Amino acid sequence: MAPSTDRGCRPWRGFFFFLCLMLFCGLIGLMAPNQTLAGQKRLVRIGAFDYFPALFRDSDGAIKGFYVDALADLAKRENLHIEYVYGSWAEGLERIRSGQIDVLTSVAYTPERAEFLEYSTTPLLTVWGELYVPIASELDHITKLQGKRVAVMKNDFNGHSFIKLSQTFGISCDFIEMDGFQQIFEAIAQKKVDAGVVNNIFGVPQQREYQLRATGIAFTPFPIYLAVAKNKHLELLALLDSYLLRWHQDEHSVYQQARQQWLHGRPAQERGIPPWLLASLTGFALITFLAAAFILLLRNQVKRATLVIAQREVRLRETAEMKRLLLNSTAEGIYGLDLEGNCTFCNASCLKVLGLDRQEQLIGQNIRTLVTSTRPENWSTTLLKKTRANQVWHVPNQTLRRPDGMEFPVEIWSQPFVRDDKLIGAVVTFVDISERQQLEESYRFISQSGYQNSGDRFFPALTQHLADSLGLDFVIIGRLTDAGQQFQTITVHQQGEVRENSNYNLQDFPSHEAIICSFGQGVRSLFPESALFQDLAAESYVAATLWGLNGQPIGLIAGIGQKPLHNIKMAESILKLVSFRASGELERNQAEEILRQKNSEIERFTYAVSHDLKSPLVTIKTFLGYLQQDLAKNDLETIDKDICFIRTATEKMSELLDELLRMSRIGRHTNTPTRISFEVLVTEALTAVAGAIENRGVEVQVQEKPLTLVGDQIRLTEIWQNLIDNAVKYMGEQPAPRIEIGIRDDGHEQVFYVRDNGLGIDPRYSHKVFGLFEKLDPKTPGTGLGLALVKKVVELYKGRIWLESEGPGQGSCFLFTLPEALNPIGENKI
Amino acid sequence: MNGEPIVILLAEDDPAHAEIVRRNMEISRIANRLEHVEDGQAALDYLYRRNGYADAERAPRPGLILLDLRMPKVDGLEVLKAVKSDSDLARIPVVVLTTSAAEMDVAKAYDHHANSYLVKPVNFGQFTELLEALGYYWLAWNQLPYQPLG
Repeated sequence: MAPSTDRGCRPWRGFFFFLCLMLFCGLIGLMAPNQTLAGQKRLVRIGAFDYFPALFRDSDGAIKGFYVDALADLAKRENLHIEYVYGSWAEGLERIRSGQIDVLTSVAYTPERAEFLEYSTTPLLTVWGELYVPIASELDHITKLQGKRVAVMKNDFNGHSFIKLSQTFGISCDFIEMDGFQQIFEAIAQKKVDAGVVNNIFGVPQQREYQLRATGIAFTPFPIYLAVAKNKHLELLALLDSYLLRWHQDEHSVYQQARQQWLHGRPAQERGIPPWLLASLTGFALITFLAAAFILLLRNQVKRATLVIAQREVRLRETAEMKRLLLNSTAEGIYGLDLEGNCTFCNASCLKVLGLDRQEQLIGQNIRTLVTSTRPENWSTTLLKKTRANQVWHVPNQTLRRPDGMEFPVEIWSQPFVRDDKLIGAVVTFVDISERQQLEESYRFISQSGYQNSGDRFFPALTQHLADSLGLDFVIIGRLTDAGQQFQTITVHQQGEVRENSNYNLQDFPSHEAIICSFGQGVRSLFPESALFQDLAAESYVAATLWGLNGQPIGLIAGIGQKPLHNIKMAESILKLVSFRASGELERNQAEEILRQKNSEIERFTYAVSHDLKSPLVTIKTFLGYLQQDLAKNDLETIDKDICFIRTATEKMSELLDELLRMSRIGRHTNTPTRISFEVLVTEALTAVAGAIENRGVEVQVQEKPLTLVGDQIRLTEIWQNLIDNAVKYMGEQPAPRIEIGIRDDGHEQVFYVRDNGLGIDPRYSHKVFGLFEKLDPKTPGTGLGLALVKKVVELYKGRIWLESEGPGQGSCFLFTLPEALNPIGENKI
Repeated sequence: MNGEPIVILLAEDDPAHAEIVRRNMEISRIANRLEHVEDGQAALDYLYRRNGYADAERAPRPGLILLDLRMPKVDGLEVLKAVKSDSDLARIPVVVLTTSAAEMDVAKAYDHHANSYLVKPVNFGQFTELLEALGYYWLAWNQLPYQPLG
């Protein structure tokens, strides 16, 4: 746009140049008549020098200034003809001394000058000297002038004063004398000197033109006067003095006005324009104005039209760019076909999906030769048929074969492409649906086949499915055990085969507490401490944590590949999808297991009860029969025996019923949980069996260990009470019976123990001791419920109990844990 | 038959029940020798002549075993299993005599080739009758296989 503006301006500028030329000629014409009037008047020669704006020679050679304007007025009134003799200030002084001029202006008073000059009484001005420098100069203080070049005017009072001032400050400058203030300013502007001294009358209005500035170093204000040669032209001096006085007293005087005008703006240089010139100029200006207005109008229209075109161009460019961006930012592959099946355009996704690099590989090519399905004749024929019939075509699942032979499933849409009501081809859009299909496959698995394979068969089927769909070499599903320290597999699938279950340390699996965790490659080097990864030569890993309904991790599905896993996001999605079902199955399995245990416990209980309660009943009824017979025979000895058998049986029955009652209360009756120290629990238990301990003369040793448990005090005490009672009962013939009670620190858990040096238990029977009504020696008193009861309480606190015994005669050691009594959750266990 | 009355091995942990068997044998005038062991382990030790039963005189080979099921250490079913899986002992008739009428126990006992399964009756008369019948059946009427001595 800018060049057209320049072109439009040129004739306009030419016109103004012409107008200025005309005005200049007119002014020359106006000045000529004034010069002819000079000869008839008294001649007064005034020394002129460059003292802008009071007095100076302009570029046209004329002497100008506010002195000139004021003196011109005076000359007109007093009929004088003033002639200015131009020269330097020094020359002016010489000329007045030699009588070449009559009057000198702007003369400061000095006694020397007073020798040959007569001064006016009223001064022309009061002036002071000031130091000027270029605008960019940093000179702002007199002390910074040391060694600088400073211009002063020859024989000038200001310069003279400044030299004296600098001497007072002890500053040595290189003073360069010049003829006038103007030369000084020129020298400063041309950097011939660093600073220059002029007076304020010259400096203030001229500084801007020379791009100078006042430094603020002003000095020696003094008046300047008009002067005539000593004892000459005294009447002229008096006349001038009288005018000076009036000029100063009247602020509207010609002198004051001229001074204001020159100081604050140059005066109009012409007065009065001839009417003919004015008329012609007006007419010319009008025509020029109209022409200019027309040109401006035209230019404006051109400009607007150009702008509209440019905007359209930008919009078109933007639209094209937007279309290109849209086309290439679309995940779907898009290509255009003409009616012959040749490709007319395609987007970046299309090239990518088809494994091509450049558009040229596709555009112009017949789509049948490039992209084929497994049944090419059907696919291309149908597409072209639909296109030519102006019909929309949609295939939700079609296998596509790329030019490089790779096959993948796609969903395809074809939309007729119509321009100006004429069918010209079709736009075909397709999406790679392999990921979707795999997810759908997994969904189908867990929703359909998954249910058919419910229960024990579910997990092997799931690992098989995951290994197949994700191409994994090793897939395991398992539950977290041992307070989340161990991982116990439920199914192990390794390279197409189901392997034996085993336990793993959870340290082998990275971030088992993350919802999902995956490493596409290099997992073995990332986790060098994982023995599992090293053993399986793992390269990729993907795992999902299985969460229980209580929000705690309960298991893990982990897959390991010996090759990098490329589509890690899809692997994560599939794992997330199946993990919900797997969590449910795992929880169901666990619930079923618990239920099975409970059922079997109930079964055992019922069985034991029916047997053990029936047994004394058989005894009682049978011996009552014998008793009856023996009473009839009066066989006293046998009667005693009968009664003894009956008593023993009833006692056993009563004991059994008591124990059963206690047993049934566990887990049903709750006592408020309290905090009890280990020491208190053991002491209470020992008190309860103190009689038996004393009778047998057992030495009891209790380890001193500060440990607090939280739970039902009565139930917890029963653990130790039964174990101690048991130890005393099975002490055998031990001559120095001893029981040790304490706590063993097994690193991750505290293990309580009750050890004796009694009969001991054959390792063959150690699994039976915690069973209901199990007694290893029928002769020992008791029901065989004691250890079953202990086990039940221990399990209530999520603990386990086991037996360590070297065998008969070696003593026994019962060990047990009580995790929830040591780290209570909610402190509400009984 | 070698002419000698056969020895009956009673494996019974309840001394009262053992006493009942003994008394009924007397009442029924069954003169056979009754050897009583108090648990399954002792029964096996007896049969294999181990741990205090090494003496053949003290522990003669039984011709009939009366076996309780719920016993300490080794239960009756395990003893039955051991007897019936040992070619040397398998021919000894084993009569299970227990308080349990649980179907599972009956089934398991026959699975392990028990020769008879008898539930101890609660009534005095019935128990006596049962033992009497048992004696007649197994010791008088029933033809036992040849049992080598010792």
